[in-house]
Amino acid sequence: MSGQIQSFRTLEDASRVLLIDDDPLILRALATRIGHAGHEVRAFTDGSSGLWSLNSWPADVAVIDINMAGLNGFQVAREIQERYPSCKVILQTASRSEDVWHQLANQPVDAVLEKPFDSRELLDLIATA
Amino acid sequence: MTNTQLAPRIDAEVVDSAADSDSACDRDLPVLIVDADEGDRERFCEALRNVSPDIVIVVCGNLETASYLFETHNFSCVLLDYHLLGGVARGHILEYQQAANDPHLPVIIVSSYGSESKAASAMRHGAADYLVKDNVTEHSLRRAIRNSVSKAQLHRSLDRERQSLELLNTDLLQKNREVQSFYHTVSHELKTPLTAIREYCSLVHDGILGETNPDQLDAMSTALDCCDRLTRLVNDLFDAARVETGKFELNAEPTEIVALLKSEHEVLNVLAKQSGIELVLDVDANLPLCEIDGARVRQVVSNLVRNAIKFTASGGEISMSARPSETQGMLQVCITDNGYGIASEHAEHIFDRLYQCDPIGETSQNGMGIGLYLCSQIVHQHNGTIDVESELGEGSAFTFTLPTVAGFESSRVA
Repeated sequence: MSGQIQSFRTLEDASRVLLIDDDPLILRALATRIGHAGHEVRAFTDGSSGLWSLNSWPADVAVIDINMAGLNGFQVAREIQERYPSCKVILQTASRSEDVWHQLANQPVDAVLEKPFDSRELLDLIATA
Repeated sequence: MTNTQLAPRIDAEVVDSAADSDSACDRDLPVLIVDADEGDRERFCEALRNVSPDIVIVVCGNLETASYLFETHNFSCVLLDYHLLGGVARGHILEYQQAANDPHLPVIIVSSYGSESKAASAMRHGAADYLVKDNVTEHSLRRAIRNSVSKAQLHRSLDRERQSLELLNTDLLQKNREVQSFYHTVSHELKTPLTAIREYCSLVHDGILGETNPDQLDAMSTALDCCDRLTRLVNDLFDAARVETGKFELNAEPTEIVALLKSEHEVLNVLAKQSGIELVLDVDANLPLCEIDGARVRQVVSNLVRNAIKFTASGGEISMSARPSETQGMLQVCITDNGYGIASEHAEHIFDRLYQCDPIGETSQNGMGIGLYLCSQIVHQHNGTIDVESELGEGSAFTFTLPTVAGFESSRVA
């Protein structure tokens, strides 16, 4: 799914959501869920492609998995926070490791979701972003 | 070691030797005597030979020669003339031990002075013993050497034990890291597909992938519940592993316990209703702030209430209450049910790791025996207590305490 664009009908208060997760199954499910809620979604399986897309498609919210090959979620989040400060960052992780939580203390983001999560929580976070 | 080997370069002398000796120091290594007075050297050698005929003795008359000897030979102990040092200062003995590359090399000071303060000072600065020359006898010399060497052997043995324990500790720490890493990987690898399963079930359940009939909706609800249950089990397993490896940490901060309990009640009440149970929240709105890790305390409350729901029949009642504890600076939370209750032989072990009991004879209700163990660990890490009062057929009351902010502050000052 890397680099592919998924377009959905948009609502007046719809957000542009950049979704990055190296698990294509999770990516597709979340993209379906977020798109169905009326947001515009672009989904990528790697951080570099996702970052590249922001050059021409400024997102309102980025939902990023932490544990990815290549650029990890923290690295992607840092790039977005530096280059696109108006874009909210939501990290998601299946990890409960202290390392992740310590790193989050040093690099705050707008929200963190621990997998598996209720996707309604994610939609609430996107709506308030 | 012979005279001819040493004499050309240094003023040292091997005065006696034997291959298999029962020496004064019980070791094969020679004794080094460093004394400027030739008469004293002779006297000491003779005294030692009289009690240990096979002893190997090396003598020299100055510190420079002794230093050279240390570079090339090992000694069981050194008899050192106090006069040569001009007194024993901090570092003197250490220099000898460093030169000999043996931190436990016994250095016995022999002195013409019978001063108690000089003896005490010498001992303080690392001397193995302090002998007054005029009082030295064959036996006192033999005893001093034997005791000093034995003590040094004990120290060396302790050193070896310590090094061995340090190696073992390093090994255990590495294994600990490996176990932690393994659980982390397993947890991550289980939760990633679980995320996908949960989300696809959720998409079907919410009708996003097409209309569902009531049976399909019910099936998806069950699947989602199972996903959540499996997630809790995986998380509990991971947390238990962190407790075992000493990695379980709290992020305590001032927290409104009333708001926390209300929010948990809202979530758990849905489950209770599904089981036909009334879940009552009984809290005083004016309870003080608590210094707690909110997520962890939610875990405790959720675990206790879910257990209560599991072991309470339809039509029963569960109560979540909170009030100041009798212990100052603590707040008490109580989860009470009128369910099946727990037999006393189970109640006393119920917080043990992997302990399972079967109060209603349905083994499928047992779980892994980790949930209550984690509850107790979380409460104890908050410096609180947790206990259960229960009677079979009458119900159970689980009570735990948590520190208020004021209590936490005063315990820090204390």
